[in-house]
Formats: sequence, C-alpha cells, structure tokens
Amino acid sequence: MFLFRRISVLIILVTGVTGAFSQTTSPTGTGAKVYLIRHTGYNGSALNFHCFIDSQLVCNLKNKRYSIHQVSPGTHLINVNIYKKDFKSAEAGINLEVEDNKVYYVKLLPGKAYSFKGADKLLVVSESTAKPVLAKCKEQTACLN
Amino acid sequence: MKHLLFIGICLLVQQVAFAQKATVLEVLKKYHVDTAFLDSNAQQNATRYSFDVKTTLVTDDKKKVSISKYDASQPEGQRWKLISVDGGMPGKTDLNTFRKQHSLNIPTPQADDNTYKIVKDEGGQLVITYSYDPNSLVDDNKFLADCPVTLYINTETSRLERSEMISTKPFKIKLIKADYMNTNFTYSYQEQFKEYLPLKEEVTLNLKLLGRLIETTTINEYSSYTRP
Repeated sequence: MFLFRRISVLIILVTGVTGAFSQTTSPTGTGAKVYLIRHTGYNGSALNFHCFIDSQLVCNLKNKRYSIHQVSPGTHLINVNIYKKDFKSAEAGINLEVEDNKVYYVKLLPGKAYSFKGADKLLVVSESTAKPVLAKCKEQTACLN
Repeated sequence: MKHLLFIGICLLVQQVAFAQKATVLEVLKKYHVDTAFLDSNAQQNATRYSFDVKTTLVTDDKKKVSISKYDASQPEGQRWKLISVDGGMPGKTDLNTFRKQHSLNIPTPQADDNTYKIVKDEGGQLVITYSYDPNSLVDDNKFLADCPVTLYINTETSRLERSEMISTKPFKIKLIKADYMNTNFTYSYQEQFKEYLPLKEEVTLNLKLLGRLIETTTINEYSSYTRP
C-alpha cells in the first residue's frame, strides 16, 4: 500500500535516534471536542499542568488525567504552563484548527521536552495514538479546583 | 496422485485469494473509488514530486523538530536535504543521522491478496483490512507481518482518507524490543496530479530499552508538493 515502505524507515529513524487531525464524530453535536491528555511520567508528577485555550485557563491538569473541552469550529490557541496559572508567562502554544463535530487529541509532553526555546509543549495526535494513553488515564472533570 | 492433490490445493488457495481481492475491488468500484492505492508499487508516487517535510520526534522527555526538503529533480542520493533542526542549523551528527536514514533501501512490502477483507460498509465509510505477504518482507521490516493494515475510505467523496497499522504482538527491530506500534497516515487526493499523496504520517512505538519502557512518536507533515 501507498507509502508503507517508508514505515520501516520511520521506525528505524525512531530507534536510531533514541530522540491535527480529527478522527471521530463528536456525539455532543455542536462544536468540536478537544481532549487534553497528560501522562508525563514521574518527574514533576505532583505539579498541576495549567492548560489554556484561547488564553483562558481551562484546566489544572493532574498527571495520568485527561480533560475534555468543547470548542467552536475555527482556530484555537492552546498553551500549557507548569509553574503558574498565569497565561502571560505561558510559552508558545499550538494553533489547533478544528471542525464541527470532530474530536481532537492533544498530548501534553513531559517537562524536559520544554527546554527547546519557543517549541510547543503539546502534540496533536491521532485517535489511535491517543487511545492507549487514554486507557492509562482517568478523566478529570473538576478542572479548575 | 499426490501431485494432483497439491496442484488442486494450490489452485483452490489461489482462487480464494483472487475472490477476496476481487470482492474488495468490486465494492470499491461500486463507490467509484480509484483503486490505484491498492497497488503496492504506488508507494513510490510521492518520490516523483518535490516536497517539504516537518518531522517532529518525541521520546519520553525529548522533542526534536526538523525541516527537510525532497527535490525530485536532483540525482539520486542528493534529493533529501536537511534544512533545520529545532529552529537552527543542523549539526554534524544531525546531518549524518539524516543521511543514514534516507539512504536505507528497503524493498516495498506486498499485500497478501488472500487477506483482503471488508470490515465495515455503512454510514458513508468503507473499512478494508489486509496483511502483508511475509515473503515480501526482509529482516528490517519482517515485523510488519503481524501488523494488519486498515484503510478508511469515505464513500461519499470516494476517497481514501487514512490508513492505520497496529501491531498485534511484541516484536524486535534489530536488537531493540518493541511492545507496541501504531501508525496513522492521512492522505490527500491531489486533483491536479490525479494521485494520492501523504499529508501526515504518525508512528507511535513503545520500546523496551534496558528494561525501561520508552514511548516514541514521530510525526511527518508533508507540504508544498510540486512536480519538477
């Protein structure tokens, strides 16, 4: 099948270095669903990751948790800040373009990945990548406590 | 007698294989889907074009973003060029690694015609699965034999939208053990070229290194396709 020869190359690339898109229809109807997923390992696990959508704090996300947010179709800026609940000090985020009735999965990366200047700390992944991670996490509904 | 029986079984197996692929082709035809993407050799489509690639490589605690270009007009061996790594000029190690990765020559895996199956045909979506023929795989990619491929086709637009490949059991890549692999490729049918070209490739791999589980994700985003 198309391009599958490259899969081996990609995998060898990954092993050698040891270094947004929608998937499903949203059952809730209007807007799109954004999953913010945090499974960031032991380091910094006691800290909350403060997540912002369009500069609004939407969740103080604990480790091994995910939160679900309904957003309108269009482009949304998503940021995360570890140390402060303050959007001003949040580093560059990602612009996520969303369509109506679609679901998007955004993974928060572990702390050390934040050292690269100006890099986003977030990764938009497919449903199939998100699923096994979601299975290891619980939903956090009390987001702003 | 034994020979006749053997030939009979071979013919039967061949017919079953043909029937399974033929059924899939029939359904694709019903939805006016261009079946060229089922041809294993169509993998080479993208290499006839020049394009840009943004590669994001994330391991547990590291992230690397690199930009590269593929120029189909250049002689073989000089087509790939690494432009930047993490926003700066690539270092010597980056260039060496990049050169090594892009000089790998792995033969195209071929689908096993006997494994084609339609698993869903409703709600505007057609889902087809198949597996690779183990005889078409080499040491570097023999683990693909246990990674069935799933194709997702939108029957309203008659287009292939994405494909997925998930490992069904742990495997080894050279000396490294992997627990799990999941790939997700999205495509775009380029009207001007009348071909499917990749938009995004996402590969997640759970590796076991020195007893530690490491999750890696590689995302390749393709853009600026031009025909030289």
